[in-house]
Amino acid sequence: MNRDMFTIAICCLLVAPTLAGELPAPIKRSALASSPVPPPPANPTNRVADDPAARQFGQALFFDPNLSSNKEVSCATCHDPALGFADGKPLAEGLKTGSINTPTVLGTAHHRWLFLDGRADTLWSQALGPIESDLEMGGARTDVVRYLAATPKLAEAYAAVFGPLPDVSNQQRFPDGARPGTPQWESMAEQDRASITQAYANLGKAIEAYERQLEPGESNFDRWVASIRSGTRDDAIMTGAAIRGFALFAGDAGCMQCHFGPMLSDLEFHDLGLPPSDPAAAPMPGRGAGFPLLRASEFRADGPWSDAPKSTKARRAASARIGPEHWGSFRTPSLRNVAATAPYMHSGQFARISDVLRFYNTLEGQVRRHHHAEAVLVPLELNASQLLDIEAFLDSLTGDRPPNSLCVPPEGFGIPKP
Amino acid sequence: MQFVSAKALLIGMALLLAGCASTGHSGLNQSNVTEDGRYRVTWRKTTPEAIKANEYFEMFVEVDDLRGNSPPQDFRFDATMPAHRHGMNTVVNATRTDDSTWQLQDLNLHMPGEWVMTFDVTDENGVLHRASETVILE
Ligand code: HEC
Ligand code: HEC
Repeated sequence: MNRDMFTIAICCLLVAPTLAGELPAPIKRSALASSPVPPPPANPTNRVADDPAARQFGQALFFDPNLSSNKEVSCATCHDPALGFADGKPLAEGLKTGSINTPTVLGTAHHRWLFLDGRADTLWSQALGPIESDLEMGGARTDVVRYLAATPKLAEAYAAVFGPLPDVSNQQRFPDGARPGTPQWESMAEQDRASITQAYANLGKAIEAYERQLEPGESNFDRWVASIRSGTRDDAIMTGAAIRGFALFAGDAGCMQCHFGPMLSDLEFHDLGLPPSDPAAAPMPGRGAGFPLLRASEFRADGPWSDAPKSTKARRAASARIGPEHWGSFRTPSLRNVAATAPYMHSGQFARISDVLRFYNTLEGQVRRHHHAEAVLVPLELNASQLLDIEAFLDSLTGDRPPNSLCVPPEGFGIPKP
Repeated sequence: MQFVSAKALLIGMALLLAGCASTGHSGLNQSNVTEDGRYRVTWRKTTPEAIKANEYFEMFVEVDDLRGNSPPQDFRFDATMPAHRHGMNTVVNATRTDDSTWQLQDLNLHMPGEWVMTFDVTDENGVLHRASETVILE
């Protein structure tokens, strides 16, 4: 069907005063396609992705500040379970302040690309970035391996999943602070570097095993859709505003051009032309930088540390293409739990959901950085109550929290609660 | 809450019906002739469902020479969204399985809306012949 006609037709159907009675068929189809969240797709590039011992070990690593250079920053510092596995700040603060808003870890196992510029193609390779980033944890893979070797509980947990850690007791062969890009690393023998990198990749794989359990949780929206699916639609589960908001979201407002499927994300990249939070800063290339970084990464799904470099997953990751329209684009975020993870957009440009919606409604301040930019957004010109309806729908996407046992360091490792 | 006149609602309904009536192409099992009539290109999706937005799929494409029988030199598939000014986010992996057949893997039309798929056949002299097809994904 021609999209404009489709939009007009939906629009005419939707300004009807209520949505009591049958839902319009396209809205119902959109609801059914958006819920429930299936289990995360398998990741054959990580052979311990669903291994119970790896999960527990990975959980310990996630909460352990000793992986950082100052022994103060853990993954949970920025991905705080009490703050929706994000940090509530516009820009992440680790060893230094970064330029990107911290996204949640909940539901990330469903993503095709990790990081907002997609510079990682698996969760395990993503986890290896922050540990060695000077903005975040400032660590070095050799120090991390040495720390594990010196910490019996962790060394045992590692060995139970991956076999013994490499012997790094020889300081000459395994100098402190050695990681790619340092003179210490350059001084190491090829084989020693490989054994360290293998162990380091394994840590990422254990962290992924933990993260794969951090699902977005069932929300009122899911419970409502389940009632539609079972043939006994129960609107009392949602508010009237949230249902009208969903109809707008799926229809007239065109949000589902990008935010669709169970994660409410197409998992791909778009440039909304957002106004920068710091107008003086250089424009951010987004996917334009993420793509070459992924190509250059040693931890790619089809790379030497992958457990299935020839798998369909790896082949698809390697078949990604970048075009001029991707310059300045960022990955469409999942909107699950969005109400719990303010502020919004890649550099925390907007403090509240209402600010996000005001932007989509007027496109005020939109920046067209180059003439290849995608042309999807148009000002919506919705009225104030319609915007509140969409906000009510977004609120209905807040899911049940993961079990408490996943929100604290696992017992027995002596890791303090954050 | 806004109210609309019965007339607007009727027009809306009529448009919806007209729109539905023109829905047809799912991108599945079809063929088309290149603009200059030289080749017939037939494509067959490997699974029976219609193409879905953002779902990877595979196709076999067969190219028939309607005016002779020299095998084409090359074949290329692409897809774009003219209204959005972008194409696919994947590079299609194409494998020639015999003189006139290609297997296309890792196809993904990642957004709903109107896509134009193009099938470009390069003939024995290096001249390009294009067949195209529009698919509309919900
Ligand atoms: C200093 C704060 C900080 C620390 C520490 C940190 N992260 Fe992050 N995390 C971020 C930011 C910011 C991003 C987004 C960066 C980007 O896209 O460029 C991110 C991205 C992610 C993502 C990808 C999310 C997505 O939607 O693509 C995951 C998963 C993640 N971090 C897990 C971890 C793990 C595991 C650790 C510990 C090894 C960790 N993070 C340490 C701030 C942090
Ligand atoms: C062209 C694709 C596209 C369309 C259409 C679209 N979005 Fe987005 N949305 C994105 C992208 C991409 C981002 C992240 C942009 C960034 O950070 O640079 C985003 C971000 C958001 C965020 C912030 C989420 C967060 O965690 O920071 C919200 C909320 C949101 N969109 C809601 C909507 C709503 C509601 C609509 C319809 C009115 C809509 N979007 C339409 C692509 C789209």
